[in-house]
Amino acid sequence: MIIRTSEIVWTQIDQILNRSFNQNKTLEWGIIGIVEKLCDEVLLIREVFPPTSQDLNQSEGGLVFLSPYIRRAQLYAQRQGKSGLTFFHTHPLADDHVSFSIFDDAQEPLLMKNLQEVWPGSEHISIVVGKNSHKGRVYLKGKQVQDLMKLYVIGRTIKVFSLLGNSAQVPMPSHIFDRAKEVTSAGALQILKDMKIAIIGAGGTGCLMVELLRRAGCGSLVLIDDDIVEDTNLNRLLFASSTDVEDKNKKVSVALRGNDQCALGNKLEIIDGNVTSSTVLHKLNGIDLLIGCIDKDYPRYVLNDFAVKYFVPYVDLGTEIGIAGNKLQTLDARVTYVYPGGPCLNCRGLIDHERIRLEGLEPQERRRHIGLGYCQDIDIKQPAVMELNMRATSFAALFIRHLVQPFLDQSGEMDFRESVTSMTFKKISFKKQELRCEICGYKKQ
Amino acid sequence: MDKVIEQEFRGIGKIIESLDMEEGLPEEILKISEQEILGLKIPFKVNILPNDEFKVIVINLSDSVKEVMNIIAQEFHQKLLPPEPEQPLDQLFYYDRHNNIMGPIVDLAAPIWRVITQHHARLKLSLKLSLSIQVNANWKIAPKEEMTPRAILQLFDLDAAQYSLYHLDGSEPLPIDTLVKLHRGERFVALKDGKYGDK
Amino acid sequence: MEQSLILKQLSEAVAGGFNACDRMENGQLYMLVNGVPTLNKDWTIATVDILVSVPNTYPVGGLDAFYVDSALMLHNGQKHSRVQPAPNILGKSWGVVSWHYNKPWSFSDTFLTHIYHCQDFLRKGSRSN
Repeated sequence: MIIRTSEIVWTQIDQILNRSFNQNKTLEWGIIGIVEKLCDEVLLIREVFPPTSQDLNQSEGGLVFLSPYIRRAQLYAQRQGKSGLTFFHTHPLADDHVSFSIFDDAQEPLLMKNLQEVWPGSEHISIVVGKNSHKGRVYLKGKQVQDLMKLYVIGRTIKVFSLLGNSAQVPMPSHIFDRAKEVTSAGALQILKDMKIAIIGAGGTGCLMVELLRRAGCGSLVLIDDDIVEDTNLNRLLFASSTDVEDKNKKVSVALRGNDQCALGNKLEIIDGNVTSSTVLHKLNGIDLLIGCIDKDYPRYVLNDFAVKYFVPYVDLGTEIGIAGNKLQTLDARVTYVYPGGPCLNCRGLIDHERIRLEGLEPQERRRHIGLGYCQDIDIKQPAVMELNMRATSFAALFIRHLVQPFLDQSGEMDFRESVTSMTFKKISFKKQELRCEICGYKKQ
Repeated sequence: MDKVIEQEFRGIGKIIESLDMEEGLPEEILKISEQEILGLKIPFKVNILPNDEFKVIVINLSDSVKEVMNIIAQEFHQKLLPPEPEQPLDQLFYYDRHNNIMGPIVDLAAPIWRVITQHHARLKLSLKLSLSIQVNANWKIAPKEEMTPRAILQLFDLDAAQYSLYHLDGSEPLPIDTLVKLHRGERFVALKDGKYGDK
Repeated sequence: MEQSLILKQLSEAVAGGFNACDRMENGQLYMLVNGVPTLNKDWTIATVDILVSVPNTYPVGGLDAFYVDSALMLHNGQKHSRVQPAPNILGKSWGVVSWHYNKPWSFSDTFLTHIYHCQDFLRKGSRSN
């Protein structure tokens, strides 16, 4: 079981807890977070309740979360329909190793039993924090206590903390990736190896993304698509042949066959489905990173909404070949990163609601609406070439390395749009800058 | 027997009419088998203690004491406490042949006919609603109408040094030694401090 | 699509006094509203049937435009310039009305508010050009 939170929330937590390590090293500090259970594998900490000066009772070697503080957080969380509370507390003298003290082990179960009696069905987390280490456990329904594995902090970068009580003990990656270690070190490669990454769309960009991530050391990939291979796909679909067209093979099956041939030791799970179906979307609950390789706006909207709601980092790719008359106008490759607290695809103007309306009409009805002259024909097959797809996927794969281990220790731009016709980068403009985004709440400063 | 009640129940079960409720079950009924008694419906005089007027209701002799308590409570627009599925803290009393109030009846699972026949009781029952209050998941009868939070915590075997008491939706702890006026069915939350230590 | 949402909104429209029902043809969901008052003497008929196509991306993909019974004519004997001929749908001849919103569909919009939007076109009669 893992925990996910946002960089904004983590900064609030860190500001309180760091006092134990930066100021008076004898005082323990604590803070309560609000828990939301996403699925059996993932718990979210979406917000925290910073303590006031009356909420904690601190003495040397001891910390008390006073009951009115717990009560306020509990009532708030319960009224918001959340699933429980998280208690963070520090052990100021712990550095690379931290564990719950005998006192914690004796007292905490009493608190959790009390909370679960007051708030039936609730599940609560406890995390003890050392200077460079964290240990966590969760009190589940039915009095079961389970150790937590990892804490993901999602923001302009993806930080991963072990919750097993040790500072990161990073095993060396397979020698296959030796030549990549200078770009992304052993620690970051291990993060990639352990992350479950979903690629939505197994077409021209999706199949390339699988290829690049497999060779970047990503250990667990999930590929989702419900299309079959068509002859017009063969100019850009890795591992696909004319036999696949004749046999009407699914794109995901072709990708799986390719993955098996490579035998690089990664897992590839394929899902023959569409994320606009709630059953398929539900399968994304345990995913650590989403990569959108789709050319329709409705599934892009669904993924964007899911990513914003559940703090899942989302890298969206797109390529666009613009033709006017018979003349090439634009040749663009785009990578956009959606993260909690940042702008989403909607406020970046990358989702067109009129397109979503037309995508939802049956072809005959859609043509009648297009005939009214208010919208462009979205039935026309978009031109696509592998080289342009490679520009977008190459950026995306490098960007994912950058997310888990920022190059030069700096988080960079979250949007790339390259114009291949002019070999320049473009800025992505925001729509409705004066308004707060109705999906992510972002407002450009 | 009240004609209206008689008509309401006609055809649903076998209703014994014209019984004197100030008497016990007549000899003829006492002689019949347990199997036959199960189908009988009998008029009873019932009230809620201490002051409610007696009403006549028809009770199935096979009903358990707990079911009868529920029927009487409903008749007076009340609900037993604590709510199902817990055992009620409210009590049912019967009247002996001399019209002395007796009880409370302890075995709430027993069929009512057995209670009446064992004690040669009148067809007359009284329900006493207790001052039941809840703290966390537990219910108890408050001994007084006004109690301090400290006394309430003690009643529920909780240490006032460890717990604070709150109204069900309250976020402020109740002052530990200030009297609180209690109402039947009132619910409280007792919440602990969260104690940690690097010892 | 949140099928249950559009059907709930259909019930609201019925409760609001409209004779509305859902119909399906070739996989496309339509909302049919019979006898909508035309509200303007410019029209030759006092009531008209209207038809609205519902995208399967609803409500993210909103409602827009609508069909009217092809019998809808102006008193001058002409069709309205915003009404273009459309093929048969549900076994009936329609005209498709190019009548759009000047703001994006929002989650506060419903099927009922869309009927009112369609009625705005009818209320304006020959002025709705």
